[in-house]
Amino acid sequence: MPTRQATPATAHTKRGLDGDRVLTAFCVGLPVLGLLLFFLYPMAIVFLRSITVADGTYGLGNYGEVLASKGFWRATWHSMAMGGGTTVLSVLLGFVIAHGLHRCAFRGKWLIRAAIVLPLLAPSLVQALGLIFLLGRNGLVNRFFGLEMDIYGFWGLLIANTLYALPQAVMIIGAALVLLDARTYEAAEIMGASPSRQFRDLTLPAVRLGLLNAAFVVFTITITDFGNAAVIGGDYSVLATEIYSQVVGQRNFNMGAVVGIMLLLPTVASYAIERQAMKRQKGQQGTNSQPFVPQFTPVRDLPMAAINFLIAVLIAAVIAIVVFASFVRLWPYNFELTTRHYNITLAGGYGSLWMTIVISLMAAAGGTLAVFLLGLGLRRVPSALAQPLQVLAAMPAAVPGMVLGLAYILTFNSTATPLYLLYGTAALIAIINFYHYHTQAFLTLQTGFRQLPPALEEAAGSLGAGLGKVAVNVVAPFIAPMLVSVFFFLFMRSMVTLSAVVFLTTPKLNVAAVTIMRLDDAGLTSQAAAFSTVVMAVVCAALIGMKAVLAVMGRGQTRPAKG
Amino acid sequence: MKNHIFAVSASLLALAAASAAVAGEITVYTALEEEEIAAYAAAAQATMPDVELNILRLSTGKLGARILAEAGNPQADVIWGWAVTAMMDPQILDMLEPYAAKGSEVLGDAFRDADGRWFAPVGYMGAFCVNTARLEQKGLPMPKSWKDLEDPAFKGEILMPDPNSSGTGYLHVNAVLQTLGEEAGWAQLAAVDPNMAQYTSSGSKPCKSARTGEYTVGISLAFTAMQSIEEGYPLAMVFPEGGVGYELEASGLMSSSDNKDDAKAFLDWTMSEEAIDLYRQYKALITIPGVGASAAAEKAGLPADISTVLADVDFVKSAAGQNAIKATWKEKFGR
Amino acid sequence: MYLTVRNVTKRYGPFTALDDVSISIEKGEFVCLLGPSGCGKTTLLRLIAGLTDIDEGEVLLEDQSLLGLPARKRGFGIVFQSYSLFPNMTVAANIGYGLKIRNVPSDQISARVRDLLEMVKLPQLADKLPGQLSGGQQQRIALARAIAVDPRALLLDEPLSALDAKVRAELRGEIRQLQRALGIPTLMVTHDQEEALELADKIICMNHGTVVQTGTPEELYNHPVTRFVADFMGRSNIIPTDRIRAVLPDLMAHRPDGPEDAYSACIRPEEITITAAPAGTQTVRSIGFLGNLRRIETDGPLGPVLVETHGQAKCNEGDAVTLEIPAQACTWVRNDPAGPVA
Repeated sequence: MPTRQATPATAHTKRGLDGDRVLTAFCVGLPVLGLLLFFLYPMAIVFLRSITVADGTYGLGNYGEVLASKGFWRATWHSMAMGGGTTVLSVLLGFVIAHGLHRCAFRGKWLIRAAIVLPLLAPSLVQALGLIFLLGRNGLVNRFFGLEMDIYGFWGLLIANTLYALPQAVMIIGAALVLLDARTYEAAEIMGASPSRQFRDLTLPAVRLGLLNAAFVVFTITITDFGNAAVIGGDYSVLATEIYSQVVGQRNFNMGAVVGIMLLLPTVASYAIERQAMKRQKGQQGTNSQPFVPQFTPVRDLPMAAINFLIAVLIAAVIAIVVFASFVRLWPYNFELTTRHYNITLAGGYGSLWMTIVISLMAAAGGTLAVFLLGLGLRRVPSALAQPLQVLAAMPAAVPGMVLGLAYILTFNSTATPLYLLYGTAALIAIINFYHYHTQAFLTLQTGFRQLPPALEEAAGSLGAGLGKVAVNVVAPFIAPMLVSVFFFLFMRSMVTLSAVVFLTTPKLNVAAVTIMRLDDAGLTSQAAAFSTVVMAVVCAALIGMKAVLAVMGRGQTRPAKG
Repeated sequence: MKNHIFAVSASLLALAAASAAVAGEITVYTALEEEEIAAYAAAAQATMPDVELNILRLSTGKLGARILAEAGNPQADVIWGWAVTAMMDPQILDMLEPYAAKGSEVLGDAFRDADGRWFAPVGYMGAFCVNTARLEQKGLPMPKSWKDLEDPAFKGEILMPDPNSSGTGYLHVNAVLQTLGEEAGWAQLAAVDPNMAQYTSSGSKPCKSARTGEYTVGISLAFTAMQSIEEGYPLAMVFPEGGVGYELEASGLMSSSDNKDDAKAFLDWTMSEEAIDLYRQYKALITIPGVGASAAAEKAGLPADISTVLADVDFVKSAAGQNAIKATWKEKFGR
Repeated sequence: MYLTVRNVTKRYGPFTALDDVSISIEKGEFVCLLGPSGCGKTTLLRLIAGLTDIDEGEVLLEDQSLLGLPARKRGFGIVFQSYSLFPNMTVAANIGYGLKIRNVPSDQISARVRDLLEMVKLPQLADKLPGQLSGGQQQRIALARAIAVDPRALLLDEPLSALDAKVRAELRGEIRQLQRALGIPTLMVTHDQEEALELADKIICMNHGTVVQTGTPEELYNHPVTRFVADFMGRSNIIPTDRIRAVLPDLMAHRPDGPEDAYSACIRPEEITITAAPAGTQTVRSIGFLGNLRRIETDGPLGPVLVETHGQAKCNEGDAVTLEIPAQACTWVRNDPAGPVA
């Protein structure tokens, strides 16, 4: 694949190459500069901390100490088992849902689309509370059926992690499915291929990259997640809880940094394996691919619809129960309805909401543009350069939010560089939100970019269109569905993500997720649920508004934007 | 080229320094409870109207991580009401400047640093949060002591914070070890261990889980217990016989502060009559001599002489021994 | 009748894509469905293929109804405008795919694939992936893939439209040759009348979801029955009845009976002889040079009339000219109720 990616560049006409070179350098240079400044540089500082031993000198003593500890290996084993389990489950269910949405015909898909984004726009507290209210020892299911089911531990954590990872798996796998050419399927159909055969011979090979990307993302975000492990994991210690215990419990930065750096290893390894596996996969779409419009086929669609709706209902139930609880006087003892929990005065009240929206829009707009430029540029640079850059771009998810947040303090709260000007600003929070989710945004777009036929770019190029025009007129419209979903993804996550930003807010700059955490810290769980409900309502309203704007803008365009 | 960059960063630095040095503005890092902060800050602001108080609230552990991460260029002028066990971490002590706040001289030796780097007029206590509804449903006896929790009937019904992740966890472990002595203390903890459903990473989580009936007993904080009872949860707050662990909430001046006058004025205010009046309202544990039983203590059902329920804790020893104790705990009970 | 479509109607909501359409294809025949975009020709092809359901009517192959038979069991071969090769399979795998599905032994598949690659003159590309081929090459492979399984009929959906002019001309010839050699009944959808004229044994001209005229290329060109067909099949002069009566009354002899505005005269520009004459009633407006042709625009009592002559024009701009039109060159065409469609 890398050699093929270079072809559009060589196919370019000699004239105008200079202008295009400058543009290519800009496309690659700007996002890469961002990655260097806002990811690699902070992580290098974390690395330095990890090799700083007790007497202040550098050495590998900390690594020796961590590797010698029993707890570390137990947590590593737990993390790998959890990462593996969640990956299998999420990719499987994610494929079922993405396949249902894009390649099956049944009514009410918008309900599934809506339910599937809920875990992305729900603050982590909501998901944790929802699972406990629903499946906890004193949860609705246990009480209703008189059971003694205990979710705390491996299975609870598996459910929670899957719930969180599933939308991201669907987003990435969906990007691989949405652009498959309908005519190809019709050709296979007429050649006599049965639906199952078409699935095996056409769909599976085409989504292999999507599946691998999704598996990589799910595995990575699972092993770095702290929130679910702390709330649902019970005693099931994982590497992220190890870091928390070192950094927050014992104020031992250097040891926390060691575990943080070690977490990069499985991620880089799994990405390398994935890249290796992708080398064998080649092939591109034809130029005029037709969007696939599935026809209703009962044998396929009824079971698929049933599974899809079942998953959607489970996801929605987890969120809905928290929304309901926020209107209840005293969950789970007094179910009298009340709005008293919405009268929030502590922890800054509703003040943080608007600033959070501004920050999220900044992160989403800037981030979408950055990954678009990067994807565009990477197609035009030699593979020797493109490959390490791809690894770099896929790495940020391997860093737990807490580690990234602390790394930002260490890096940007230093007057040694002009970057200090960013410290304590909303811009830095937008930046950390974007880089925290850089991997997912980048890989979603890459999955889409892969479907872009080079012939399309070449044709436009041979008509004399420069890179800039090709990008705007040819590439952007083609991958518009992915651009839209990346924008929404970054927006939703920025609205609610906590772990990275908790260390970057200041007395004058608070964000919604931190308000929720502070309310919960203060024991006001119902108020925290109420505030979360308001945040979710605001995010939903914003999403609907933006979709409406997109619909108006997209009217008259041939390719419908799906998101 | 190099000089160029230097010039640019130098001017930016000057700019940044200038903006941070605006007179009449201080940044206060605290781990006090939200409602206390709201009340204290309003009163302090009224007393010192010319000073803009910027208050950042984080939980004890997260605040520590933030202060240490910022150590290269500290942003806070004052640390206010933060667990003394954390404050006595040498990494933190090194950042503090000795200052004897007006009024802090009345505090006993145990409640202020010999070198004057911190003082602690108030504190908070641990407690057992017992869900009475679940207790009744399970037919369990009301636990009165750590010993009572050894009863196999409590198997899987008790939560406690992990001392390696949570200061509250350490508070309890340390109290057991200091009141019973090392050997008996570890034996007591070992006897309860089989009944522990989970060791949580958050200090308030055990109480929050107990109040919603997920578990019966949450070894946690008195503040959360009282707050939950007020909310109406079927919860009882129990101070274990033999003494409950407690923690002092210490304050100190950051030596890096560029507005020490206002920072000192704020620290002075925390020992003022006005502040002490507010402590009576919110704090069960006040270390200022001569301040009688507070309204808060009364509401919590504490005896007039609070020292009868508190464990006999030596904070210097607690702070000094914490790494060893945490390591031993992890060795014995880590899951 | 080999393949028959009988009284087929297809609606999409309120829009009627096909309205009571009937067509037929004989064994070995090359039939073109010709019409402007949106006329229903592609819908008709997809109905025959089994890719779209029929609302009313039936499709018969050798007198057996295909209704209810899924596309994969109809045994056709198809080529789309967008090539639609399987992007993850090599050229050889693409061509052999249909045989593989039919469980043909792999050595036989390889042999057949080799033959077909020879046939489309691309034997060196067997191990390439579709993304590495040019558009023309991809379409040749798509053609080879479609005929690999000896289809009962070949369905071509604008197979040449995405190609550039030179490749298109080349491939057009090859398709014709291949179809003649193999004798596969073929139905091709196109909006390009030249393509239809060159390839087809029979052209079915469609408009607004109905068949307007069916016939050999010569019939459709020389004897269009409606103004739409006349317009669509190349350049023609459409002259209203009253002007013909006034200027060239001789041509009225063949005019079918009917109201004044029911019919117009259709005269191909190359059938007209133009002579410069001071007494002529038409005036030359412009002369266009098209290499071997001159295109002369005139105006006068007949209205605007276009004339094409070979070689040097025997008149100049502004000259008065007479136009000579033999009676057999004039075809009376029905004025379509919907008016002319460009």
